[in-house]
Amino acid sequence: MKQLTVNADVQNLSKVLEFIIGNLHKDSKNEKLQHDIELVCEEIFVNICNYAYGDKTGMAKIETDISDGKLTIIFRDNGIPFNPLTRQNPDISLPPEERSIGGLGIYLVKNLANEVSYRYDENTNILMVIKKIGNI
Amino acid sequence: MEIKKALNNQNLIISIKGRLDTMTAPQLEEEIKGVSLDEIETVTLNMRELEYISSSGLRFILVIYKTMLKQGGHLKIVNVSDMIMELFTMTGMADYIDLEKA
Repeated sequence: MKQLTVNADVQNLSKVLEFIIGNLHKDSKNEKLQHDIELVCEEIFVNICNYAYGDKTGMAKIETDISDGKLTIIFRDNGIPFNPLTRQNPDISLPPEERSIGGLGIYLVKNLANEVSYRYDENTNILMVIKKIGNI
Repeated sequence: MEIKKALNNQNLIISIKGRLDTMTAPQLEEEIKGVSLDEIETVTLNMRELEYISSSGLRFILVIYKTMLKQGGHLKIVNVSDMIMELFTMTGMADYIDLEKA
């Protein structure tokens, strides 16, 4: 298991993505898989940056682990308790002009990750995502 | 990200190279603000060299789409890779946006 702690600030986005992708073996880095993982992690990290601490600043802790062909990434923050997974999916059956512009990020996370779960424990938001990366 | 703009009569062609994400989408929005879209008939986004897109980039495309729709114009996206096409399909955007595969 490896971990990174950064200020929950979008300026740290590339640092976070490099940390996560850097843990992957180069054989498992096909373009589509890497895109999926980066997208999922960007949406979650940016969500923490934008909402977890309101106007204040705080930290985000990211842990990654690879086993049994699965990449597990855990995001922790000590901000306002919030389960992003309860956010309503955008209604993609509406005519385009009536569609709202929000909610896309978490919708993509739910679709691209193999598993996503949220819990709140000891004043910490804990969001865990699992992505299958195949046996390497 | 690198952006190239070409204005040809009422057609605006925007080519995006690199990553369209949370950090770069505002930069693209700024670039577009510099063009008065109400005089444009068609906006074409060329994605040939787009490597990565996140929801911030998709939201930007929705905004352009809605702006063009409101004024009776048209948005066209060309050279879309299979990888990015999948995201357009997943979000339902492929149902109404004029997309052309790479």
